[in-house]
Amino acid sequence: MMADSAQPSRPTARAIVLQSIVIWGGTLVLLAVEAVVARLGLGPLDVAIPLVCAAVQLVLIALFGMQLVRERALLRLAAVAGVIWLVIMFGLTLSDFLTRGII
Amino acid sequence: MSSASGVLREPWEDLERQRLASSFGMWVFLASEALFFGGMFMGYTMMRITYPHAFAEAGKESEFWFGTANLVLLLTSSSSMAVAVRGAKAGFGRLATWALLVTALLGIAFIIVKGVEYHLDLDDDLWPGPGFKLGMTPAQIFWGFYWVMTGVHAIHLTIGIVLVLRLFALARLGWLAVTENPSIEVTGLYWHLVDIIWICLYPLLYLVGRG
Repeated sequence: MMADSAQPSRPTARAIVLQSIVIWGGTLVLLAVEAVVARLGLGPLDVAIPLVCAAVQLVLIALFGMQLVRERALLRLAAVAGVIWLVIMFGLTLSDFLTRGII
Repeated sequence: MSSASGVLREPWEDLERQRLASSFGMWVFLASEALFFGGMFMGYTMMRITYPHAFAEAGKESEFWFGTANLVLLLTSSSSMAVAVRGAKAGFGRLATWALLVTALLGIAFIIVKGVEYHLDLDDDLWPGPGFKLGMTPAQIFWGFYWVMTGVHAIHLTIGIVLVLRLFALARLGWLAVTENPSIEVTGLYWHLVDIIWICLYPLLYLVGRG
């Protein structure tokens, strides 16, 4: 009935805690990078690098916190649907807003 | 009505289907939440493109260390929530229960820090309108977004804290079977979304104009 459910073996409590600590450490390193870079006065990179760091933090939480990395296709699809609608909203709005006066 | 483990509910025939349905429902809700917040992010982006200097000037007034501390708190809470969800799924009920409490306490710590920060912001005349610290400039728009977005986020977090504390209390009272309970997973998804929203807000509200 549910074809994509090859059940992995159950993790140990130690493995669960360890993985969370590793992901937590990764997100904190990214926070340190964005907080430091934003104060360096690098011009446009002041904006771009913190946003990239935030995006990577977001992906880490989505994959390992929200378990999308080992989730069923239906739930991954539901998650991606939200992102697609956001991309459409930002894409259509900015394609107008940023090209006013050009076209 | 309920299975031997006490978590299977009608109308589902087995726990896996119940888990899939509840998680799917939550993901659809989260997608709508993403669009709700996305509209505010969209407005912020357009205004920041229109008034870059005013936003840089306004952003310098936000409390950098409070925002950073709060991001550390929420990132930590996401980790403890992940332990709760995976622990519950793998059969470690005790680990999951205490991880839920840690998560709720970190959320409460966030609200306390945010409350102190709001107090400092108000003392600093950063509420848009007459008497605004930076005068009648577009900097007010930045602070308009700041109050609305952080306020709506705080409401969401408060709801999350209540949901997590409820699960913890029910588990400690023995009224809720933690192991393999889809409620833990669904609450976890909501909690992570609230964390992700703060991850997105942090560079937009606390790192503007710092260079």
